[in-house]
Amino acid sequence: MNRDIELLRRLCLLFGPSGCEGEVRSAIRESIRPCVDELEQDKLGNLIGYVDGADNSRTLMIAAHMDEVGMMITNIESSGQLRFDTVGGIDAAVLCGKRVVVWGHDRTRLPGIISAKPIHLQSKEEREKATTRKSLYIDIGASDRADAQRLVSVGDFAVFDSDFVRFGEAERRMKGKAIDDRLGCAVMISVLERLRAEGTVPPVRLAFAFTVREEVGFSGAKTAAYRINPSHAVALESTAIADLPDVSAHERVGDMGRGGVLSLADKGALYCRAFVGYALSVGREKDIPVQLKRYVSGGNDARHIQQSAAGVRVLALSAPTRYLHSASCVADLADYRAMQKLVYEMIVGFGRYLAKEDM
Amino acid sequence: MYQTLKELCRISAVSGNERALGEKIRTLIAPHVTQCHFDTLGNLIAYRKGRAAQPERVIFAAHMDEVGFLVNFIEESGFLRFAPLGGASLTAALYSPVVFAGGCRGLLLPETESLSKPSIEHCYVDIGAKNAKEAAKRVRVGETFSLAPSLSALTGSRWAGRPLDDRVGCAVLIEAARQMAEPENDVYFVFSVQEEVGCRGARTAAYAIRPDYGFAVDVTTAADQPADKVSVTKLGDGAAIKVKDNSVICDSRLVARMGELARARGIRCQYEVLTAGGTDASVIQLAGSGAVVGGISIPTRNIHSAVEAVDKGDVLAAAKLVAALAECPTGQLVEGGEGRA
Amino acid sequence: MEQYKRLLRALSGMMSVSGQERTTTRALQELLGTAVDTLTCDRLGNHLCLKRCGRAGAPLLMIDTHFDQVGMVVTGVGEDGFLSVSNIGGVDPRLLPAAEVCVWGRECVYGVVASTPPHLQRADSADKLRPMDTLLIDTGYSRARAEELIPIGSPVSFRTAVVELANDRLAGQGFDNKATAAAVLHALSGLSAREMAYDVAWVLSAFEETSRLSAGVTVGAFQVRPELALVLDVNFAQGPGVEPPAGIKMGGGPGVTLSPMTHRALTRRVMAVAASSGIPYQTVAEAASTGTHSNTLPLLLEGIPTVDMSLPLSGMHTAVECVSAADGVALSKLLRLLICDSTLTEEVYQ
Repeated sequence: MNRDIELLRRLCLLFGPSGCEGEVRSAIRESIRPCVDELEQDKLGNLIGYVDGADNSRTLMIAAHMDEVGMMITNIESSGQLRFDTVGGIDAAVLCGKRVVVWGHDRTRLPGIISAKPIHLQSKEEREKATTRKSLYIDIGASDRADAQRLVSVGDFAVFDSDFVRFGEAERRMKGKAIDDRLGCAVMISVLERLRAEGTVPPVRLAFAFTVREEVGFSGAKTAAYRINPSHAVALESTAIADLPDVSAHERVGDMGRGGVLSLADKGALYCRAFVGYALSVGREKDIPVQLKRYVSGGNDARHIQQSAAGVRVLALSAPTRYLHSASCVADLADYRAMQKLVYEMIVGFGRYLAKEDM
Repeated sequence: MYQTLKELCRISAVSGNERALGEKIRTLIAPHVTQCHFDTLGNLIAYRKGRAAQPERVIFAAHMDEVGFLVNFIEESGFLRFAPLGGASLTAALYSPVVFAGGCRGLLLPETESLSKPSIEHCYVDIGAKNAKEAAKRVRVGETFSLAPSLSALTGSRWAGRPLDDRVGCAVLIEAARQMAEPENDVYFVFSVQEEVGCRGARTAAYAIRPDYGFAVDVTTAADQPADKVSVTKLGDGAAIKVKDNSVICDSRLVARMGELARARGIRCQYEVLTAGGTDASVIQLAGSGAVVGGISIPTRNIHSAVEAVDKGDVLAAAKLVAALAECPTGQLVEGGEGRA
Repeated sequence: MEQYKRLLRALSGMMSVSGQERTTTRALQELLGTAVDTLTCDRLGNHLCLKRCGRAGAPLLMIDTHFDQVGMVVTGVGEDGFLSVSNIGGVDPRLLPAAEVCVWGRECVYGVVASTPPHLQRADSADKLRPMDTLLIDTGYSRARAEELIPIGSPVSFRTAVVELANDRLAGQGFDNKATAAAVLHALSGLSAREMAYDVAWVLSAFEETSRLSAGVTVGAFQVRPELALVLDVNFAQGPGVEPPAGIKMGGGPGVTLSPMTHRALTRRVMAVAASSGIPYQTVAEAASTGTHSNTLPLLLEGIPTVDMSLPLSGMHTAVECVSAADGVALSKLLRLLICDSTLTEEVYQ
């Protein structure tokens, strides 16, 4: 019953900042190998699993990215502290005082902490300012530069050190790092397992693409789409839901617990209305919670896929997430399960949709 | 209680000059306690002996002093210069009638009308004297004064005036002493001096008494008006049980017990967490081997202005709560044990 | 070294936000075991431990390590189980967004401090720190259930386990001031009465982080009435933002303070003891306030000669305070030598 939660937990704990997705890719490959007809890894490191359909002349692509936001060491100070830059967009406010894992020489995992100038020694003006990334350092306990250089090098990666916790009413809230976008990957793996378990033959060929480098904008999904050449694509993502008490209703993106969020438009793409309409109708027919994104913000791989080759009709389905790109991303179990169901049912009914599709 | 409060407000008692008020309070509380006396610094201690064979000692403290000013110079022109005593609000004092300890009346004024940020050096008091000689006949350098007192009952259950900080606390203690049944513990109603300048009176009073428990009965901020972003307490929500303020963290077992007691007796109550301020509880806590302390606060708007406002229901609730705590049997103010989780 | 680390981990795990110190009595009793003769908790939450040397008329040496830590307190339960909080002591607010906390209500409730989504950060306030009273804690409960579980006034601490870095450094919460408590316990464990020159009163004082009146140690000293006292606290470790002469070097040994408030001759003697035994220490020159209980103790009762010592710590008042176990062990060795040195009292009237 909780196999999907265990799957998500395992994926969230893996080390996979943009450009260093290997560990995540290996784990996913092992999981999906028994569920796909063909498996390939492309030149950029994207992992694509194909499932044959009744009509293999058309392909439906489903994509989620394997990479997470993280840090890269940019300089080793004489004190032994490590200067770093963020890989992907991490707000400096959520970095201070957090624990990290640095992947150093010989793939050793080194625990570290992110600290800043003590608050007692700050001037009044300094105290009122938000933290800037430049004022932060990673401390791995090295006593000086030479000591640090024995353990790490400039260019080494680090990620947040954050475990997976279930909490709240009926433990339906889940906290972890990298929920963006391991949750999307977990949805895809669950769907693959279900297709195989129920012996379902999809109406068209399916391409499950686990992509790289989304967080830094050098989207692996672009090249994967070019290779796969789908007619339609579903990008699975996370969205900052902003459903906090001090946020007014019209500024909220959606609500946790009301299902996956479908975008009509964001900063990167205007989504295919018919395709979005199909998703909504599947939600209605099969009684699966799904909601529309209220606020225009953000962007994801969908825009790269949409503009690939001769164009792809895209849809973005996102998990409502709080505290995105921090050590403590929070998602809701009901939303995770609703997304699994919705993707599965959209696949099953896809043939009928294609027959009726109009622009 | 309104009448008592009115009488108390009428008597000026700026920090250091509390005696006249103390005498008044003594006449009001003496019938309800075993014994009254003034200690070295001028605190009024009204003691009610308890029945128990081994009573615990409990202090309820309300301060007699109010914020105000001190004359430090008389100009040739007959105008007076002054310094603040306690955290008086200059903005609230501008263009206000003031009353001196000696009875003289005056007006507190800024030097010019165009002031964005009044500073005390550029304000003065006009008592109508034409020159320094005339002024000196009416007031002395070193004399204290404060904004003219008042009390009125507004619509509903609102009482407004000054100085409700802390005459309302004093009135609450007097009323509690009147209401309460015979106590098990030895109860000390301490009407303290010089609280507004650093809780000085209560510190020495507590050292002499060596209490096991202490409660400060004072006003607290009710920031429940338009544009107040974070509300501390609300007028009308009952007596406020202090969790902490900037000077003291109240014993959490006592806080829990106070809540239970209030609910058991049907006394309306709310909780107070203040990120500023300070009360006598902070100094009572460190007397001798220490005391378990808490606070019963009366939510008040516009503290230190001429128009402090309270809710009558909250004031009555505070008096009931003080009486209930005063009647608490020995060893039951804090149920042993170590607190939470 | 390993024993020190074990003690520090155990102490760090005890929730002792200012005002809640007394909740740790049982855990302390278990941890301290026979290292001390008696342990009591007084009215304010100070823990008073006595270890006697067994000789009648022996002078009393007080060691003060404040046991409270910074944290927060719940001030309200709002919509969707979001809690509003207030600071207890000076929690560094920069580390709050997306931090994990434990809310100690009727049961221990897990929470995440809500951080503002980027698209809602206003351009004009983007570079300003959000004040603590506008921050909210996400508990994942409905408002009704949160109200049941979490009374107003419930303390909040950080959820961090202790992590070990390189060079025997540890990071965790509450190391201000449990790092020194661990050193004291390390020193007292296995120290037999016959070796001791003093009766030792170890005061784990309350309210250091919050009381401007130093209520905890004042009441503690009143009960103990020592002949002399050692105040142990933490000091800023040198590093980014803390350049010499500020702070002391991590790994350089405990700091020993020269200041107008503390007893100069006694302090010099402590330094001499360290030097002659090869224990590293660092001199701290403090012309004004030390910011510790050594500002208060000398003026209590009839005066208490006081020496102020410290351990280097980085990340003060965060969930990742960091100390060097080597420094802790050095302090512990020095304490043992002092407790066994009967000549200290000769310095008092110098």
